[in-house]
Amino acid sequence: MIYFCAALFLEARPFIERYQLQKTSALKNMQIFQGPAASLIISGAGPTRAAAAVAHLLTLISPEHCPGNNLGHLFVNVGLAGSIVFPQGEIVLCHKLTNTFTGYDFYPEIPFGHGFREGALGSFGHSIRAESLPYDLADMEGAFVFEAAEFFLPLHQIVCLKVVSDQFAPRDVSAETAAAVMRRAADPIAAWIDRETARLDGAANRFFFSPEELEAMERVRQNLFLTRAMCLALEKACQKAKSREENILSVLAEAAGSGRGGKNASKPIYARLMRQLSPTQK
Amino acid sequence: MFFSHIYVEREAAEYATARAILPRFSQSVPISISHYKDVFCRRGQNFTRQKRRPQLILAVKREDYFHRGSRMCDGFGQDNFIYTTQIMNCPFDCAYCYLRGLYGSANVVIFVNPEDTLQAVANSLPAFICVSYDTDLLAFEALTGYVRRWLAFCAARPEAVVEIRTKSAAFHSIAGFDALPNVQLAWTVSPDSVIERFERGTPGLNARLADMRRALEKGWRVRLCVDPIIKTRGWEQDYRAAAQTIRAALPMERLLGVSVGCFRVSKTHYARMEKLEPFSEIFGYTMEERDGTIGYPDEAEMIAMTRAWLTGGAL
Ligand code: SF4
Repeated sequence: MIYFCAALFLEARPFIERYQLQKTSALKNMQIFQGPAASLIISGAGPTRAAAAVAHLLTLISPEHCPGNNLGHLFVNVGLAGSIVFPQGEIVLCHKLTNTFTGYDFYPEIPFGHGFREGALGSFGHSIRAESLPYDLADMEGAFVFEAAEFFLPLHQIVCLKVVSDQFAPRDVSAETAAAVMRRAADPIAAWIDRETARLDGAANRFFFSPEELEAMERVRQNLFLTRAMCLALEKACQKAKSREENILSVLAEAAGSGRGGKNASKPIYARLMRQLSPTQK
Repeated sequence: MFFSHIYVEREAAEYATARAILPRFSQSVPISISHYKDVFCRRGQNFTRQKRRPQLILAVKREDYFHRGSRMCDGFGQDNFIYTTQIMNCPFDCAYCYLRGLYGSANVVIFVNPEDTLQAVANSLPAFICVSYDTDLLAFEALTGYVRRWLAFCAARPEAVVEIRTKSAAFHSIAGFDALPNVQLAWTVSPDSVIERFERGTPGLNARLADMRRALEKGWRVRLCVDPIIKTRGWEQDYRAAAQTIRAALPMERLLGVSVGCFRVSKTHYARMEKLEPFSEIFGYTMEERDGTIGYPDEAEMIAMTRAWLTGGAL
């Protein structure tokens, strides 16, 4: 699942279209869009809204309950930012984010081979107009969004991508220009996101047990009337036995085949199975 | 060695070590930070993922220049046994490494003010000092030159006995120095089957033995460590064969000593390590807890057998 958080509709729109997201609910000033592969929330600007939006999205569509068991998800904060270091339209991956209220710095994990420029982002609670700032980029939510997302996802699954719209003078840029800048950047951003999520999914789905082994464990569970605790113990024992390169399929099949005589008759079969799975070299 | 990003503490950037290291990574992105813990101690890091492409952090050590040795380490009977941590984490990636349980991050931290550590240790002599702790100092030698600093330190202070433990084949980086009676070079070796499966990035057994032989020829005091022994299916055959290779490659009588030990870690570290790689064979065998340490229940027999193989005994 890809989670998007954008402050404004014009920043979100290219991704809503690309991932064919449908509006599913609206809080005051906070719209949520969902599709099979992505969810998106429009937070509005500023620290409180950013934090509320992230918490709301990641609680409503919890990564823990999505397929992939929390491993293949990517949270992306996309939006416009001001910069005097980078030209208009440049896509910048933020490698350092500063909450300018608290002065705290946040350091995202940098995805390997992303191909974007990189920079340090300062996040402010209000629109700024400045000649210079000690940051490569400035916006009104990036660091706040990151700080909130950290509570829900591992670091390497959170990225902040900014598209440069202005030179620290946001009011000088019309809404049409900003929307056009965002639209042009959306394709390379989405292409990278698709590659990155495929990579994360691949890592998440490298299953240890073969489908046959999982099926055999399931048959043992049913035929031996295993409780949840017994199932967990069996899985752990199978995991250790397989790590020792032992053939677990045959012992599981034998146990499943001999266990159809009711709960009491199953107990010694389960005990024997666990003995067979435990290491012979003590 | 490549780091795509280098985090540099603002204060560290002023030190000569940092100024020497940074130009060697002109392709890396430098990121200025206030304190190394802001990066190294972030929550939500994934050690195994980071280990595939670790980043470098340059920092200043401000306290705890050395520590008293833990009871799990072999202090070789020395009273004042201390260890220093001038680098955190290691260029190698051993699946059984306790650093996986100790640190939340696999990024490498190099403290750029080794002179402060040397000064603190100088005030605490006489001592037996393990300097390649929480890292493999010799493997980083080409980058840091820290081993050479310890050699100069020891040359001037006979009351300091320093152990430099390594799995590297980087003896060449100090081969130009004269052997010192108060410096012990210790190589940890394993059978090639263990190296291939569980010691990612390390040189093979023969390369380590060749380095040990060279060091002995140059008059260095050399210790052999078969520690930790890793239990696998058929570990006996692998360790017996490795012992034969070792005996054929080294003049065993000239070694300063042979340490043999089994895989063991603190209970807390073990739990964290198992969580990182639950499907590894390292965690596939019965373990037992003794005084907060997790180890094999039959470690005494394993150690005795390996010792016998190393000394050519039958068993
Ligand atoms: S060489 Fe030593 S410190 Fe380095 S990873 Fe292996 S066990 Fe850990």
